[in-house]
Amino acid sequence: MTSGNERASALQSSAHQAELRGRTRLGLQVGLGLGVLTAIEFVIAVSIEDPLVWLLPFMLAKGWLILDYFMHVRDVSGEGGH
Amino acid sequence: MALSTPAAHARAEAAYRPRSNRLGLWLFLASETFLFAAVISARYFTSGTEIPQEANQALAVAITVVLLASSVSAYLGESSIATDNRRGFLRYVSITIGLGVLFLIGVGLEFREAYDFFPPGTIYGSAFVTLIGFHGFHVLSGVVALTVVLNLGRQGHFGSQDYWGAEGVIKYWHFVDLAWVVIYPTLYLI
Repeated sequence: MTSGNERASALQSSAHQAELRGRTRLGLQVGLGLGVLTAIEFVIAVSIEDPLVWLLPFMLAKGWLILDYFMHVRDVSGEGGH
Repeated sequence: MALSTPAAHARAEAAYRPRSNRLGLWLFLASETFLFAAVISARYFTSGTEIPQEANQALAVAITVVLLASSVSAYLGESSIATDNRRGFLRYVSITIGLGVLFLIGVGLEFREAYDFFPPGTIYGSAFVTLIGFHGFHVLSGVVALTVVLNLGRQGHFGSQDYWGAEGVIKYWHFVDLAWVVIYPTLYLI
């Protein structure tokens, strides 16, 4: 019985480690994406006169990345798990 | 009949509460969005789309990178506790707090420069100080809330089955970052 419990615990721990690796990779990719978009924003702002319209898509893209990947906005209408 | 027993009631509440907490937090963040939208739109109404030449672009980029990095570490902290990795949770929440404090130091430097180049008495200075101050106060409250979460985590609170307290504060932190995504171009690029 104890051996069965230990095996189940080891399996759960292994699943958690795999999930954490996946989430870590995703978090770093989203962070990199945010950094790249910020750099593009800066280049546009220094090279274009009155850049408001040009910057809007980048602001929206960054906002969407944070809302969807970091804040899990889609869970609001679902069951709430992620 | 079964639902009237205390155990069944506790089970039903445990299943219902995280969903209602999450909805309540999103409603709070929606109300915060309206507040930020009002202050941001005031900047465009009063100053148009002109930014002063004295705006410190290097400092603005630096604190933007710091805040974006803090959102990544906050996400990694939440992911760690969701997978029962307490050590990772404490490490990443500590990093997030450190980055938040670094951001606040940058905001302090911004304030000092703003008082020299476009003081609150000017139209742009008024919008700048209000917006930076309003956002900075949110960052400060986020740092305080994250410190509470860190201490609770150190005491053994939170686990993969129950980490709503950490999740709620980390979502608030992401919201503060989301607000900066709009504030940074508003004050420095447009």
